[in-house]
Amino acid sequence: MFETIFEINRDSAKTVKEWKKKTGKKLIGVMPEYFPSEIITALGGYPVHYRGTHTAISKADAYLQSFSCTTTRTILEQALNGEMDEIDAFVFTTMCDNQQNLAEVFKRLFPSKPVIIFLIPFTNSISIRQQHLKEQLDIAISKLEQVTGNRLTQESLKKAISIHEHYNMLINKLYEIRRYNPKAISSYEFYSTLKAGSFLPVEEFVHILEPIVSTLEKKEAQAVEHKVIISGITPEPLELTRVFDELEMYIVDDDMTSGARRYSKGILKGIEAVDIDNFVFGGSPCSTLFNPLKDRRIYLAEKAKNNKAGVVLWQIKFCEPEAFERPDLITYLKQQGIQVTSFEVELQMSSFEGIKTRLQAFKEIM
Amino acid sequence: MTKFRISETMKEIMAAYYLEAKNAAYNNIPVAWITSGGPVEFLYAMGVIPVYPENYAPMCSITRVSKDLIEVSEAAGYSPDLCSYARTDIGADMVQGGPLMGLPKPDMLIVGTNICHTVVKWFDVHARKYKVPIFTIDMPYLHDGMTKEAIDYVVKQFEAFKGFLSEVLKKPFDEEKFRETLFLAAQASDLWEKVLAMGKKKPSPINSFDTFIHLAPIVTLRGTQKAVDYYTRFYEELVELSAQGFGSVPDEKIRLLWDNLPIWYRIKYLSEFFAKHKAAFVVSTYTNSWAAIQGDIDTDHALEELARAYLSPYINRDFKYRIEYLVKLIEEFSLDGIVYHSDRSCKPYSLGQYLIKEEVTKRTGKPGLIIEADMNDPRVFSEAQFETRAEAFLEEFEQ
Repeated sequence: MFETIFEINRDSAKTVKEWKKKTGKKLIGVMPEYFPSEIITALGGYPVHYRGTHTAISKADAYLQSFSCTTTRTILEQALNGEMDEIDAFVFTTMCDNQQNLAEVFKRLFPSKPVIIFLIPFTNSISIRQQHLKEQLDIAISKLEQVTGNRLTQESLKKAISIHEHYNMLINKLYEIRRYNPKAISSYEFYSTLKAGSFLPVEEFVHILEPIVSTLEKKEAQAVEHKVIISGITPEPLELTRVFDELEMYIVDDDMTSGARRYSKGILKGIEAVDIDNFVFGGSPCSTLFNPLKDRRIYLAEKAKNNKAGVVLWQIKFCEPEAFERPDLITYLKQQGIQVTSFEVELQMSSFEGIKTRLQAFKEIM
Repeated sequence: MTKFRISETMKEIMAAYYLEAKNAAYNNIPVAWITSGGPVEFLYAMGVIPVYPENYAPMCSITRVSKDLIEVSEAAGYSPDLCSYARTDIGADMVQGGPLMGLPKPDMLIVGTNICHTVVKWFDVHARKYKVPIFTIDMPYLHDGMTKEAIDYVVKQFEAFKGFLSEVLKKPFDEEKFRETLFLAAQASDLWEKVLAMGKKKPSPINSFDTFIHLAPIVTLRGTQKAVDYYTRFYEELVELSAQGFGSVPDEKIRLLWDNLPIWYRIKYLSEFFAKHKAAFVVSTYTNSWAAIQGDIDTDHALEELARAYLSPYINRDFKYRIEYLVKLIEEFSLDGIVYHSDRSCKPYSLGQYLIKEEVTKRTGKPGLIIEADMNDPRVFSEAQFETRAEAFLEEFEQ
């Protein structure tokens, strides 16, 4: 059932190239999160998300120091390896300092491709934040209109919203299945499916998702032990999810920027200030977003309690937003009686023995 | 490092500043912890003492206690990959360590994002601990140059900041005092720029290791008469020294630019090393960041001018700007080359230096040297590695 999914991910550059040819659409590379792809779809573009991946880093070392996180370095490596040659323009969000500077590196290394910046606000005032987001969105729309050669209309936006709504609904169903019947789909299959969605036009990917969801829904639910929630930026390297499967530790939900943090937000409902604000700041909290009204500690503790699960902090080395929250987060979760462990990865890693041992020990105390 | 007449005065005014801050609670004076790029003028206008963890961290480094404090925060779970200022500060706060036995407790926390996003997360740690009001002013990175949208966005937040201070301090915002403070801040900033411009003289009476130290008043006391008086006297002393033909590096032969933050814990060693090779750092991108508040700010457009200034630090600018700026400094300061400190702790300053170095050298023919180190964590610095690379670089000029 997942062979198509694995095939998409096996050579994502090839997948993207083929679909660009099939659709004839302008390809927009989105780095990495919290830009509304609905806009790209509405403009007749084809959004492709880059969130860092498992790949050896060599060429990127000429441009970025080793103390840059591997999300940033592997994205650049992919670009330098020609995996983004088909991309017509990039949209960067300023989630952190690494991404902010990566946008500048892209501007210099790929001068023929427009780099559009979507500034994520870090301000106390909600009304100022909303107004700023609206300005940012308008600027991005105008630049994307130039790239795609299409104008955004009420009709095209409505159609795109409908497509993305359907996609989001299917992904959220998948999350629901994972929660009540974790044995129905392995962690590797689940996160491979999420990842594959980054590389296909949304309107095409839903056709792959629908039969998966409908088949899984029919499976009889089985109770499991050793339930965990993973928390971090992105579950990469993806192979590491297999370790959870091998150990029969069930990831019943997550708190990942590329996962539930994103999908909990729902979709962009319109292009007014309140719409874009809801899109970016709605849903679950995120370490990369400044929102004093949302406390990730409380959110994660509730999520863990509701799922009767332990928490595994999946940390990417040199990721400051996550690392600053880690000590207080661990303390709080422990105070709440929630079992918690953490490990640190670099995306180019291939050996997970140390992490496996740590997870085994965690499973034993659960 | 150069021993100026004014150096003693700096020790005195900084000691008085910290004494006042340490005694603030006894005197019922509110204290704000603020980031180095934060708009301090609003605080002085409202009688709040601004305290800078980013000033205290290097103080801990220079007094050789940063390593111990860093290890305290790491033992508490803060990753060794986090900013070393943050690790030093969090460690100092945990054990009330460092030369002042910790900073005075904050009544509020003020964050400006014009230097990095790290400060947002770092001050959040303090906000969770102290449970005091926090106000974050977003001064976004200028990817597309200085735009009206960016200026308006910051101005609106400045207005909101006035409201925040008024609410927290339970008194109206003092506009008159604010105008006075702005005027003093602009004066100090102009004077600081004149001090830094003395680096254009040949030989230069001042070098970057000096300016790193004499930066403290423009950061902490900007907006006060003390800062204006200090830099007035400092500038006069430099003019006098220059007239006498004084060079801060004896027999100056090589003129360099220092890019990025200082390596605080080895500042004396680096100063002596380069002086031994007759190399003077006559300008740095780091110290120039506090020379931005200029122009006729005592007008109806004061907040716009202030917003423009706070958006301006080098670290908040796109690479195109950075390259052009470095090329301009090479010309203005008659530079022979650039030393880029690749600072493990400071991503927004460091990531991109390889590209910038290549482009600047291509345009000017002036060589660059990358030094891998860290601003506050002495465990990262390798003296042997540094000397091998720096000597090879300096030999290029001696041939």
